Amino acid sequence: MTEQSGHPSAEPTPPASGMDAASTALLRERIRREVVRFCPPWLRSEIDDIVQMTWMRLEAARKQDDGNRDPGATLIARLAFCATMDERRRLRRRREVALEESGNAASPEREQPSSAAQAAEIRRAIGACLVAMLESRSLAVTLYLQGHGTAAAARLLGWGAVKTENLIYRGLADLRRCLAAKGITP
Amino acid sequence: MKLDEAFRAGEEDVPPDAAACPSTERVWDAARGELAAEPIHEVIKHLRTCSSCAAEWRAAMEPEAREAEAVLIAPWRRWAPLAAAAVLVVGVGLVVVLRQPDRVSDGTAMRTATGREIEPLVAEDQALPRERFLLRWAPVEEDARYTVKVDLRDLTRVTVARDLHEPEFLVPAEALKDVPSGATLVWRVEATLVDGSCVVSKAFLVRLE
Repeated sequence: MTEQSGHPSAEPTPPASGMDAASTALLRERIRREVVRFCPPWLRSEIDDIVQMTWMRLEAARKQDDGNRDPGATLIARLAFCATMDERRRLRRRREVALEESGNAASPEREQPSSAAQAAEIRRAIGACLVAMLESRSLAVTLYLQGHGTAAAARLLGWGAVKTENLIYRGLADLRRCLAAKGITP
Repeated sequence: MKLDEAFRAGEEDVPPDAAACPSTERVWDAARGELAAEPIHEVIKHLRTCSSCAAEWRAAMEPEAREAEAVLIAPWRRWAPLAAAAVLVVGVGLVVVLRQPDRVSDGTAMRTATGREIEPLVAEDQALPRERFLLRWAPVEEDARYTVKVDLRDLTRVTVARDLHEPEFLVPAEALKDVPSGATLVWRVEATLVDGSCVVSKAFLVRLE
């Protein structure tokens, strides 16, 4: 990424408002650690720019605050996450546009190796089955498939743990039946 | 085919309708439970058919939300195997304890799959004063971040602290106000390393003076 893309280049950081140079360097290192945590491997070459974008968002947030307080780990993590994922979305969109403009906008099935295409097909089938399912079961199963435990899923959904667990159980049974009807079996 | 693995595949797929994707801020807030239930439900509905946003959600999840994967079984079939397993575990535990008469409970750290350990710097069963209930452990690596969970022995949660940068946690006296003097507390540490991996300690015991 360069300045041509409309993004800031990774230049030496001026001291943040209300902070000395040493504190600024420490803060920048904290941001970098968070960006590295969220950055997928294929985006690693953009880390410096994403750190800079996070820095600018943090400065904007601090200006709205009193500007002197430690921004806190949660705010830094949130800003680093959003900057990283925004950049991920932007580059993937650009890649797609480039493919379309070059006339290579083939179907995903043609571009991908057969195993990847098959995985994508199964993923789409799971998505279709989830959409067709009773909504409460669908929400609970989606969180389960994402890796949430029952307690965490219950907290997010605003339901009790027992109800959530039952919904996951029944929803998974629905999902297996739906996939089997599509010819996909475990 | 494992359903969860199949669901998590294809994270670099282009969303079928990118314009419908929630903002990254909204994904973060929903995954962290910082929205009301209804907006969270809306984001989850989107994840069903968008593997890209589903991948973002997983990146935003708090480490403790990822609980050990359990094989779900019918609720009505749950209790008999659990009861049998409990009897078996107690029996095996007794055998193990009885066969190690010289073993000293010295807070030996747990060795994890990553080879990292979390070693407590508070002696096992040490009594700490209510006003300065300081839990300390040896740093796992320089930039690790820590979560500490403190429970009673019946697993009632006393307090939890997240995103700690230092390998210590001073339990607020307020959190201990309902804990009787002499009670034993159980504390665990989870370290999130720079590479995103997680090291979980074993349960350590400490007493309230």
